[in-house]
Amino acid sequence: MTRRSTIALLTAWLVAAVALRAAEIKVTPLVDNGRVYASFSAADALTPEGEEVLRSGLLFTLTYDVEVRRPTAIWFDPTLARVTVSASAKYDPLTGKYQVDRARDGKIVTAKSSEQLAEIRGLLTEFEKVPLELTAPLEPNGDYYVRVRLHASPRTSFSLWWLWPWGQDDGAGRATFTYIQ
Amino acid sequence: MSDGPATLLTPEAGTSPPGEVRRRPLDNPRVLTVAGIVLVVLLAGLFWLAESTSQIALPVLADVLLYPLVAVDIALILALTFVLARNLLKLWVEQRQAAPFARFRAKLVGALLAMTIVPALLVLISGSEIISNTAARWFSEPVTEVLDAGNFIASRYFQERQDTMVLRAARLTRTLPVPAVLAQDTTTLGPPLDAELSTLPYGMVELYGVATSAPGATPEAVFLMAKEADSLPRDHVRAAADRLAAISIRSGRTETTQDPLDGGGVLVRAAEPIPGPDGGMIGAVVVSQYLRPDVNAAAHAASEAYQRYQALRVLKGPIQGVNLSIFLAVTLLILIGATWMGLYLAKRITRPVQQLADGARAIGAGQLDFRLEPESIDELGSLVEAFNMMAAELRTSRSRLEESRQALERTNVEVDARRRYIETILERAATGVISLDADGRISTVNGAAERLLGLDDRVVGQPVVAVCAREDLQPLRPLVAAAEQTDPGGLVQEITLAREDREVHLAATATVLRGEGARREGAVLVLDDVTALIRAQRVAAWRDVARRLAHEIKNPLTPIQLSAERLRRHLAGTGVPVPPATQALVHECTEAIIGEVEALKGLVDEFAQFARLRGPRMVPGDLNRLVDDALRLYAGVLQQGSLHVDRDLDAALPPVRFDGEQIRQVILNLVDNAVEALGGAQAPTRPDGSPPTIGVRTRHDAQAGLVRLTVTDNGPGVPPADRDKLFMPYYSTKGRGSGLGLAIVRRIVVEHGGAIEAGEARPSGTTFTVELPAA
Repeated sequence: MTRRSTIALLTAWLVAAVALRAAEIKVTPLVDNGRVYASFSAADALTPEGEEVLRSGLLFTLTYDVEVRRPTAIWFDPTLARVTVSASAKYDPLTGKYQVDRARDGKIVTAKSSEQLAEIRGLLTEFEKVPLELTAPLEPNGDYYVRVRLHASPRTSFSLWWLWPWGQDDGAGRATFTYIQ
Repeated sequence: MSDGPATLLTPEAGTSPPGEVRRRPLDNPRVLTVAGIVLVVLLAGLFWLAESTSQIALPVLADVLLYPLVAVDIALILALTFVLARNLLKLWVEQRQAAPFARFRAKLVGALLAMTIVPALLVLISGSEIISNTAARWFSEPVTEVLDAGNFIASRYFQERQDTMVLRAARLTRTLPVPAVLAQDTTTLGPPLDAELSTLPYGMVELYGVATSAPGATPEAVFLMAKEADSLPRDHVRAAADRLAAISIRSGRTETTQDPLDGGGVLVRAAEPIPGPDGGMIGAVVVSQYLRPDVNAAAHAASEAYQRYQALRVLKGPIQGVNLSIFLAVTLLILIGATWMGLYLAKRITRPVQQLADGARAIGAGQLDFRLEPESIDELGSLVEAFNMMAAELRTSRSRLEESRQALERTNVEVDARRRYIETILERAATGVISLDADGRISTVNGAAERLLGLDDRVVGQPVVAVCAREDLQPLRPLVAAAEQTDPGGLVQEITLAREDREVHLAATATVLRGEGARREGAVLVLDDVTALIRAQRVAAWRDVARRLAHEIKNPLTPIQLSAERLRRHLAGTGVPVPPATQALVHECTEAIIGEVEALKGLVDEFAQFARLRGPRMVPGDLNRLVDDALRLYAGVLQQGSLHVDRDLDAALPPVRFDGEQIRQVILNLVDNAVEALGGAQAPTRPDGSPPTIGVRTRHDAQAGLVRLTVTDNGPGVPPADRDKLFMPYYSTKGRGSGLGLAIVRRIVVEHGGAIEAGEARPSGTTFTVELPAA
């Protein structure tokens, strides 16, 4: 086996490992008066393992890192805005109710209780019009993209892949847009 | 076992100053101590962590703790791999290079590693299995069923309480008259509440109306009245009921809640909105029942146990990972420590031995300053001490030996210088010296001996008896025989040897050399050339004889001559007739007497001159001019005759200190002899057809500081045996004359500090060479 084919196989294995584990997040950017909002949905974020964690009474948290970035060809893409939103759910077996708290940059913005798992799933995986505070104004006719990365906690399995120094996402998605003024 | 590593000291090599010990960092006791403490601290930390995992929240274990532990495990695995690979590679390289003790160290390291790694791996495998099996037993089916059932019972109990409160609230709502509610008439509304309360132990009923601040505004719940049982604890607050009623009124639905109380109990509440005639909500009823603390605690305990169990089950993998990581880290730390310690111990055992071997090699190579640091007080330490003492002793002995060698070398140099000095003296000495060894073989022979005896350096090593077997050296044999005797007593003999064309008179002495204990070690033959001395003695004797002859003979000659002349005059003057025969006889006899007396007078004069030759009055002069002046006397003779004189005078001849009269006499005598040898002025042509020629030549020998005058003729020459006799008084090859000419010539030359010798000319003839010192 040549060195080139070995490298290709390793790369394919890495890509497959990431793709198999990561949930797809559908991202919909919205630009209004120079402000950027992001709606996203991670339908597969609440995996069967996650549901099991949730029903065990543990606090189950899905954390989304939402960024607005501008693509560049030869360097790292600069980040224009970043916000971290999370949804934490805890099940009370005694009452049979789920308590869901949503937080933005660490501050709780909503709290809701429900006995319906479908509703809880929605609260955990669907976010509408999350505002992103830009550090610089968008340039007219500029191409941008919104990237959302998901981290689930706690993890229910163990893999050496998690020792990857730059972290490993449980889900990711991105959507590009062109700012037309 | 030891208190520090050992290092070879090599002060002579300059790599380390004397007294300074070079240590590798890993061999430093302090580093070792710190490393040991770090290892112990790490192990203690891991044990503490293992003990504390039960106190740490499970999500923290799974999300936070697991990854550093795995990273530590991987780092330890890499460290162990590095330590093993490095040391095994070193052992392999040492074996490939056939380093000393490489095989022994490899075996030792292999045994130590096998004793360390194999048990550790077995413990790791079995421990991992135990951890996995133990985790599996946590979630056994009976335990799961019990916990599920407990949680189900607790949750159903609460649910049933909740449902009962909802039913009661709904029923009470239906019994309340709407107008009274709209009017908020507590008098009318009180009895239904009392009736409901009467059937509700530990219960409480609260009634709320609605107040609207403005048309279209959100209706607000207004507390109207509350009925509570006497058994109900008084530590509850109304705020929770107010909030529940407000929610129910706004949503128009039944709302439930559980309010924990400070005493440990809980109020199970249900709020039911009261619909008005127009469909809007006109109030709400909140029905509550108190659950005792013990019941509540039991239910919560069952629920919490269920939750913990479920959390453990869900996070079983990460928790197992944490435990396995801790166990693996402990095992790896022990492995690393044990491996390193094993390698260190192997090195500690083999290194002193190897260093001793290296030290022995270094000592053998002459590096006596090598020392080994005593690194321990055990047997190896004693061995190192003994080695160092041996090295020190060797160094001291070497120093003494070196001093002795240097002294001996100095002595040898002095002896060698003295020997060369003596050899030079012997070589330059006119005395011949021959040394013999104890076996009678020639050890040395100097130049004078070679010259006197006609030997060369090939005789060295040959028996002296064999050398003296040569015919001309036969006279030496008695002396050699005496030298081989034990004690010849310094025998001195005068020996005459025939050397080519002359005789050599030697005064020979044989001396025995004696060593320790008077042991005979050889002999020395000393040969002094006394030829010149004997010749001088002969000349002196001849001078004495000549003086006596001149004195004794000359005195009677004059009377004899006068008597003969008187006899002849008397015979002629008497007038007495004398027979002619008598007259002729007398005349003939007197003529003969007078003639012989004249001849005797001439002879006596020469003898007298020889005996009374005055000392030379030497002044610097030009020899070439003197030669020219002398030869000018022969101009007439040469013009009339057939002789030819060939002059070859050195124009660069330096001045010579001489007595001009005497040296002229020398030149004339030599030229006269040459003329006589060629047959006189009318000499015939030589048999080979060449003209009779006399060659006169002067040359300057700057190296010897001499001026040479040679007179050569191409006459018949002088036999070699007679050449040395030419210079003896009263020896002549001409058959006439006194034979004192060449004797006088030699005496003049000798008194001028020079020498004369006769040699053979080529192709025929004789060459007389006079050497005079240059001024």
